[in-house]
Amino acid sequence: MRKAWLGRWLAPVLILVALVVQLTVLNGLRLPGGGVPDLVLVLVAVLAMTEGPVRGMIIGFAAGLCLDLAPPASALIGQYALVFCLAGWGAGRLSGFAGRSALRAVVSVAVVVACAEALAAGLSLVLEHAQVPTAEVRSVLPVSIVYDLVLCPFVLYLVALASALLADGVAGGVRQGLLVSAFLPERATTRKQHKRRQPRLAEAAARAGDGWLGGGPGRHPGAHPGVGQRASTKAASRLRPANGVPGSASGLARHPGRPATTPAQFKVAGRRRRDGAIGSVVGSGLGRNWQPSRHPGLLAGAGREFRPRHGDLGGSAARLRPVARKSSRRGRAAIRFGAHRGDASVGRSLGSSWLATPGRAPTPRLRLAGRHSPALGQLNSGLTSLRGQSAIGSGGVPRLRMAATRMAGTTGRPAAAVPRLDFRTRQSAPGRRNPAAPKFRRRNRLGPSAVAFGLVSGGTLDQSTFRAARRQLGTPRLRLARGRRSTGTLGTGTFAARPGSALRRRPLRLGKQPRFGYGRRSLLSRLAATRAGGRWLGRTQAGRRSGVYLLGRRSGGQTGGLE
Amino acid sequence: MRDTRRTRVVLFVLLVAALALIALNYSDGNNSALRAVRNAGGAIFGGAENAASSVAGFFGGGGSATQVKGLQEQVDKLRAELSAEQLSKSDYAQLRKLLLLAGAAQYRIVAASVVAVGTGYQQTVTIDAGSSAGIKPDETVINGQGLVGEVTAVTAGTSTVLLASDPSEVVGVALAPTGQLGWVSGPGKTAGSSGLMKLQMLSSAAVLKPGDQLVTSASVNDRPFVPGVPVGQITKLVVQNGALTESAMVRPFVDFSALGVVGVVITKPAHNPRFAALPPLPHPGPTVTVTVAPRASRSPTPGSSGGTPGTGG
Repeated sequence: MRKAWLGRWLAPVLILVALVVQLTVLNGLRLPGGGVPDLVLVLVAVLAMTEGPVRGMIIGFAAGLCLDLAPPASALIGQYALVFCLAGWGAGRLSGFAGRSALRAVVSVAVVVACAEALAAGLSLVLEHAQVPTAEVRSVLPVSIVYDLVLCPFVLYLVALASALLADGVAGGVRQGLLVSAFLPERATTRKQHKRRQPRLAEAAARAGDGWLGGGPGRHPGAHPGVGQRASTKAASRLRPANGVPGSASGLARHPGRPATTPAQFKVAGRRRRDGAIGSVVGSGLGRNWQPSRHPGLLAGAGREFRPRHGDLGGSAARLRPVARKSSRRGRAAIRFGAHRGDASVGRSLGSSWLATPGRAPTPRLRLAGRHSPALGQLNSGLTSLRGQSAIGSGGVPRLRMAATRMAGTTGRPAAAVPRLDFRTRQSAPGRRNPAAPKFRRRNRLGPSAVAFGLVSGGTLDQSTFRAARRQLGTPRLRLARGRRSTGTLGTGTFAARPGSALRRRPLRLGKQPRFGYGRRSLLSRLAATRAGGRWLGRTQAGRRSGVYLLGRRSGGQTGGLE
Repeated sequence: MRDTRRTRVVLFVLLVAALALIALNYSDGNNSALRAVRNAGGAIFGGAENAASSVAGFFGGGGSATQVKGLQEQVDKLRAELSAEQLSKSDYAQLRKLLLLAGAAQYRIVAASVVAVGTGYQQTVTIDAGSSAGIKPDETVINGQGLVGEVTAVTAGTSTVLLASDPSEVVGVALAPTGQLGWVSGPGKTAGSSGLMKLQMLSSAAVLKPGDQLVTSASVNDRPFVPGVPVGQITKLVVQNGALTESAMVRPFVDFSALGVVGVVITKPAHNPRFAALPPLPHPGPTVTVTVAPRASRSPTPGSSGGTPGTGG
C-alpha cells in the first residue's frame, strides 16, 4: 500500500497536534457557559472508530497520559488515561454499529464522548473533591458535552479525509465521497461514466457510505450485513448482472428463443468493497468455472465468467421441465426486497436466470414486503411456491422448517424468540442430518435478506450440487484480502476452509494478505483495517465439508464451524 | 459482538495501569518518581506549547494598543527584560503595566507568558518560566491589572498557575480604605456569565460599599500571596439574612480569560506596600458629595455616589 508508513503515523500525529491545540487554543477560548470542547477526547473516539477497540484503547491511554502530563496538568496522573482508554475501547466496539453510515458514526462518537466527559467529571469529583466543587461540574459538564458534540462531525470528517488522502490521494477522497469530484482528474471521471451505463448499481460506488469509518464491512466480498440484517439494504445490491447477461435487458433481447447458453456473467463490482457477499455464495454453488482456491467474487470482479449449472438456483434452466400451474403466467420472476431497485441482489440473480428460461412456463412472482420483515405467512407462501414449481434442482427442494415456538412474536420469551431456519433436503433422513446438507440457524431478527438468503441457499445447496462440486473441485478455499484473525471474515484464519485449519486461528499480518481481484483497498478501510466489518461477514459454514459459506451474524471468531 | 481475548487483555492491562497511576498519585503526590515523570512531561509538552503559542498569538486581544504611544523610549529596556525576541504591541502594553505595578509595590518579579490552559475543572494555566528562572511553588502571580493566581507546580521551564478565579482558590484580602480583612473565592468556570468573585468579610464591623477596592493581605510568610496586590472592586453587596458579616460580589481587576504577560513575584517586598499598587480612583468627587449633602438627602440614592468610581475603575 502506498504510503503505508504515513497511515501508521496518522493517529499519533493527530493526537499530538490535537493535544497542543487543545492546551494552547481551545482551553483559552471564552465560550458561553464556561465549557470548552475536548478535542483530544473527540479525536480519540474517532480514531478508535476507525482502528478498532484494541488500538483505540491504546491510543486513548496514550493520549490521556499525555494530557495528564502536559504542564498545566492539575489532575492526577492516570486520570485522563483511564477515561480515554475506556472511551477508545467503547468507540472501537461501537464502530461495528456504525458500519458505513456516517450518521451512525457520528451518533456513536457522540455517545462515547458524552459518556467519557461524564466519567471524567465524576472521576475528578471523586479524586479531587477538595478542588472541584460539585456545582461547577454540574454547570460546566453539559456545556462541555454540547461543545464536544458540535465538534464530532467535523473531526470525523477530517480524520476520514486525512486517511483517505494519505491512502489514495485525491482520488481516494473523491471515491469516498469526502471530496467533491471536481478535485478528480480525468481518469475517475471516465470510470464513472462507464459505470453509468451499467445497470443500476454504478452510482453506489461513490456514495459517502462506501468505505466510511468502520466501513470495513464494505471491503470484502462477502462483507455484508449478516443474514437477517434488515437495514442497510443498500448494501445488498452488489451483485449485478452485466450487459448481455440474462437478467439484464440486453440479455433478454439477445437470446429470445433458447435457454440461456450464454455464460452468466456475474459481476461483482470490484471497487466496491462491500460487495459480493451473496454473490459469492451463489456463485460458489453455481459456477462451472468455479475453481478451488479462487473466490467467485474474485472471478466476477476480474470480469471472468462462469456459468451456473443446471439445477442451480440462478443457473441455467436447461434441464428444467416446465411445471404446469394454474395461473401460468409468463413473465419475469422477481423477488424484491427493499424499496430500491438496485437492492435485492438475490432477487435479481434469481430473476436473471429464470428470465432467461423462456421454455419454462410458470414463473412465480415472489414478492416480499419491502422494508418490513416478512410475516410468516409471506415467508411460507414464498417457499411454497418455490417448492411447487420444483424448479430448483432435481432433488433439492428446500423445506423450510421454522419452529413455531421459536418464532419471534409468537412467544413472548425473549430468549426463545429466535427464529430458526432449518433447511434440509428432501432426501435426508428425518433424524439425521446429512453432513453435506446445509443447516442454517440464525439467532436474530428475521429480515428480508434472511429469507432471501434462505431461498437462495435452499436452492443452491442441493445434494447433487454439492456432491458434484466436491467431486470435481475439491474443497474451496475462500480467502479474502486482509483477513484478520478474529473478525470472522471469510477466509480469515479462523475460517479457512482447509480442513486442517478450520479451527486454527492465525493472526495474519495485514501487509501480506493476498488481495484478490479488488483493485485498491478502500481508503478509510485502511484505517479500519482491523475491524473490517468482518463481523457481519458470514462465518457460518454450512456443513463443514460442503465448502459453502453462508452469511451469519455470529461473530467473534471463537468457533470456526457450524452453528 | 464480543470482545476477543486480546481485546480483553489489553483493556485490562491498560485499566490497571491507569488505576495504579491514579492510586500512586493519590496516596503520595510528591513521589519523586512521579515528579520526575511530570517534569519530563513538562519539558516535552511545555516546549511544544511554547512553540505553538508563539506561532499563534492566541491571547491577542488582551492589551490596549492605544496606550502604546509615547512609550517608545521604554521599549528596548522592556524587551531586554522579557528576553523575548519580539514583543507584540499588546504584549508590550501588558508588560509595561506589569512593571509599573511591580514598581509601585516594590515587587521583584519574573516576567513570563501564558502558553497553555489546563483541561478539566480546575482553572490552571502554564507559563513559560520555571525553576530555572527562580520560580518556586506557592508564589504569587500577577499581571498589570492585579492578582492572577499562585504557582502550584514548577518544572524546569514551565510553571503551573492556579488562577484566582478557581472556586477552590481562596485569597485573603484587605479593604482599601480601611484595611478590614476578608477573603474572596473565585467564580469558577461559569465566569462567562458573571465572573464575579465572592467577598466575605471577617469582621462584623466592616462596612462595604460598591466601589471599594481590595488588595491581598499578607499570607503567612508571604506565601502564597504577597501583600498589596490589587484584587478587585466591589460591585454589588449581597444581603444575607442572618449573616453576621457582610459579603459582596467583587469584579476582579484581571480578565482571567485573556491572560498574556504575567509576572511571578519571586521576592517579597521589604515592607507592606499597603494600597500603593491600586489603580487611582478616577474621581475623588464622592468625598465632596459627602461633605455637601446632608444624610437625609443622600440616603435615597446610595448607588449614584458609588456608581461613579465603579464605572470609572
